[in-house]
Amino acid sequence: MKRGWLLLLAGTALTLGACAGPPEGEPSPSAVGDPATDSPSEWTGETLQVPQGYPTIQSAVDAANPGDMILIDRGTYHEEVQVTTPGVTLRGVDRNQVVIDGEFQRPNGVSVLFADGVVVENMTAINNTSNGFFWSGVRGYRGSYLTAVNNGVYGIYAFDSGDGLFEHSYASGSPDAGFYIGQCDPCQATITDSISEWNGLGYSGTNASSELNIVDSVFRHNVAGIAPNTLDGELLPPFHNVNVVGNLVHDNGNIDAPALAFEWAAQGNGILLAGGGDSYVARNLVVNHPQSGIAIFPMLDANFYMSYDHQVVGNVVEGSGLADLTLGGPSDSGNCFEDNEFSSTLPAGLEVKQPCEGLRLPALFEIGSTSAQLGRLFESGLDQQPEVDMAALPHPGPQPNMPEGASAPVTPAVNVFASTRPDIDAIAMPQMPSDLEVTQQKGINIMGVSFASAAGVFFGLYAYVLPLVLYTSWVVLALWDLAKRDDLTRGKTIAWMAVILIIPFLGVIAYYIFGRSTIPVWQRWVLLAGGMLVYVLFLGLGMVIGGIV
Amino acid sequence: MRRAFLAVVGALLIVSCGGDEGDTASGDDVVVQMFDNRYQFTEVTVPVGGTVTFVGAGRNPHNAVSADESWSTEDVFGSPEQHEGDKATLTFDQPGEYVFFCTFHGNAGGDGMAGTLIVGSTGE
Repeated sequence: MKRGWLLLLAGTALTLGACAGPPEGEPSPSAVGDPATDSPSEWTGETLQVPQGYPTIQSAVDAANPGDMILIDRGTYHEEVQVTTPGVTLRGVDRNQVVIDGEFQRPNGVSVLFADGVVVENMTAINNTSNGFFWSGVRGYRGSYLTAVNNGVYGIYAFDSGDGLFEHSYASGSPDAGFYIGQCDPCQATITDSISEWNGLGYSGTNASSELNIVDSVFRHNVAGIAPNTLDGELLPPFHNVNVVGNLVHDNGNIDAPALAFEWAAQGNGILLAGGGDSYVARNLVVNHPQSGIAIFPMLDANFYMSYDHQVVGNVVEGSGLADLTLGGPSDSGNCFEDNEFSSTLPAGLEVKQPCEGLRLPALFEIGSTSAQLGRLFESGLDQQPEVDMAALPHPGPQPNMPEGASAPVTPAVNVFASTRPDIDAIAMPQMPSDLEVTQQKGINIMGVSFASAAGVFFGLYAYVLPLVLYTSWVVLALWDLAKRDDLTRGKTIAWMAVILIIPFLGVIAYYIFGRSTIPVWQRWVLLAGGMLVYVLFLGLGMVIGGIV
Repeated sequence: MRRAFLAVVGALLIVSCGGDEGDTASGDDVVVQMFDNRYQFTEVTVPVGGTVTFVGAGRNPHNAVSADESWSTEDVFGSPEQHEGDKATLTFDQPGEYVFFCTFHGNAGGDGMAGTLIVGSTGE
């Protein structure tokens, strides 16, 4: 009998966070900071013109030598462009009138594969089934004055790449993320002066770490705003050392924007750090979010990743339905909150209990909002999230053109990060726009479970409140049992009471197993295992239908 | 009863934790998930007559194409784009060693999303 109980305890501990072991494999050298580049550092002086010299962009790309520029005239281009020549610059003469249209038939507008130093600037990509602009496996990349609209996965996307910059760009209508930087460490990349709206996530960075700056940009009307995150599908988990500074993040939680399952789970949060560590969220203005303005959560994929050592400092957060600041658990130690302007936190008193300087209580978090996210995944797994017609999403108006246009200096993307690295400490809080008002009202929640979603309430209650109810009943019954027993000395009775009250969960379980309780064995069995079975069944059901496993 | 209960709980716990994979796989019938943007296994070995099933498991579409152009998932799936859940099963009747790659995220030189398939040298 005792061995069975121990097996159950061990298994429960496993469920609560002992799963470990990131996926094996090696990223390409570019992702681990290899400074070597195949790109020339200067323009060759050669310009290939489309369509004057070459009828399609791809034909010009195929004819280009490293370091050449391809200058694209006004027009709508129905093609997919794949660049494999290093140091090439693709430039549109007019950002709004040079359009690569995938017609919802072709995967990518422009994809740059294993070609270092490629620059893409001053153009638009729309209606591609995968991505608008995409770099993969490169050292050195730059996307400037780009517009990506209604692309099927990501708008502007760099994967397994280092030394990059996305600037003065715009992305909307992507179900995963408008801007995405994934699987790199050190990433050595910056996103700045950009706008991301009407996407699943405004920014997503899966397993993207170190020297990565998301700064001075606007993330609005997405399903969720900014979400560095950890997943097992890509290498290099978990993410760490990301700077999110000086952004305007408002009115995310848009249920009319497209979203995939994991993005839907994040719905309603402004800035969400999911399962990584050591990141710095500072001087952001975060307004109007149905869930949390800024939240730290764990991430459950094939493995379970708790967040650690994140710093949330000096932000202004207003108008959050659940809480302005949330530390969702289970959480590792070291997450801290200081000098923020806010009106509510989960758990309460977060800045007092978890300051960045001074005494910090270990692992203080709340689980309700984390559990509720399982409900979102459940909804998505049952196709209950709102359907969005990609073709009907709004198009932005004209976006600012690149200064000097066709005659701007040509510079391959070499040593990009070093030459454009922002001074994080000098970045200021953005101003509150005159037309932005605080409209989101604080909603009702039970122990962190909000009423924004029926499935969220359901799973929040079963995965969080139920264990607490069970625990309470275990403790009450154990104390009642001890009180009416006359076979124990006073000292032993006091000792067992101390064990039950002082050691959470394990103390009372130990009493039922080793304390020779007068409660019949079968009743103890039902009390402990029956409730846990219901808990685990609901957890398992949510994960299976939610697509986590 | 107790064993049945523990079996149920144990199964759920195992499911919740998932499992990690190495870089290699071998067997008569191997399943390779195509994540973003890598294959679950970068070295696959099957006997002559064995099968490999490539399954889309990422947010982006993927495929698998032999660098020598002797086979591709498109041959059996009908499209170069396999999205999440899409499966393509190929049967290999000729021994040999093949570099394969995703045309969207790798190249024939083995960069990026690429792997090696060995037919016939082991597993028989």
